[in-house]
Amino acid sequence: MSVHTLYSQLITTKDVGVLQNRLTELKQKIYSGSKTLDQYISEIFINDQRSLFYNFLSEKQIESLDPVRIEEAIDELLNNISEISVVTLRVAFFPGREVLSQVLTIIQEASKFKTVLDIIVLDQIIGGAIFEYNGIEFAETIEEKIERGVSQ
Amino acid sequence: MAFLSTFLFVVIIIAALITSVVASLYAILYLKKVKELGKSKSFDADTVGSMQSELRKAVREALVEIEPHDFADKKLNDLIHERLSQTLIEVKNETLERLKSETNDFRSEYNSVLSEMKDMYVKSSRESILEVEDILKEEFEEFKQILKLETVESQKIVAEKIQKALNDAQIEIEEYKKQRIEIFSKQIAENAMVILKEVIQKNITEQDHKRLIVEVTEKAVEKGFFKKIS
Repeated sequence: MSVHTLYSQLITTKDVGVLQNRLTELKQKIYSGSKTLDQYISEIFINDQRSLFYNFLSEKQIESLDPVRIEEAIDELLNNISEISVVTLRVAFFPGREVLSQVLTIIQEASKFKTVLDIIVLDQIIGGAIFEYNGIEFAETIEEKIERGVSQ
Repeated sequence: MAFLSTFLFVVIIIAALITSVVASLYAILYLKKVKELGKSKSFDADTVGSMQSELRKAVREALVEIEPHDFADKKLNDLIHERLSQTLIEVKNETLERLKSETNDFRSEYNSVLSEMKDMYVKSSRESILEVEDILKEEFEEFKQILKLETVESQKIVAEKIQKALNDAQIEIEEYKKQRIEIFSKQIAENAMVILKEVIQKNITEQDHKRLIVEVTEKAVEKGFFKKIS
């Protein structure tokens, strides 16, 4: 199981934020001692993410739930997450995770880099989308097409 | 005795003659005075009265000159008195007649002069009036002409000003029209776009939205937009 497996669920910056918060929370609770690490992992990570986290630990050969090694693994994950590229996507409405996953797959295939989307919903776009990365835009919207047509 | 009487008579006659001559001289002097007064053209009723009074006074003085003499003969005395009085009356009447004549002449002459003066005045006044009328008429015509010229000039200036104002107004109207047309065009375009957007928004489905997003992503890939990601 590669690190990429855990990241595959990260589509938006919101997902990234949630994962970062959970990892940070777990890191803070490793040495609290009131509960076992399994209990904390079960409480903090839910469903697929929990199994993916365990897979990640297994891949790192951290079978014994050693707090020190788990902390190191969490730091590595947080470090990697902070390096994920963010592309801003402006759309008329939230299109759903399925479409966003499809979009992200296309982007990552093209860029060869793990990427997440920062989704901004704008009513005036009507239809289509505007991508932005490092201050550069690529826009293809119905609004833009109408304005271009009216001005011509 | 007879000789003495004759002598006295002669003396009396001579005295009477001297008295007559003196009276005549007085009269002549008064006439001269009257003439002088006539020349000065200042006779009036008071002057005539004054002259008559002076004349009567002269007669009385002449008689006084005669009366002191002692006439032996009453008859002769009365005769002398009578003749002397008669002579003086005649002189007086003649003087008065002359005076009257002179006065009448003066009045006539005065009236004539007055009449002449009146005529001259009337004539002069009429001429002056005519002259003034002519001057006024001439000035009025001149004034009319100036007024006419000034009116024409003023009309020209006013017409030029009106034309300029009209041109300015037309330019302003054209500019205003242009601005309004631009505003209307912009408003129409904006309204058209709003309507078009609303129509598209109402007619576009969720599936269309999703499809469009994926299409745009593919286009961005085609354009090499995501190759910038690192």
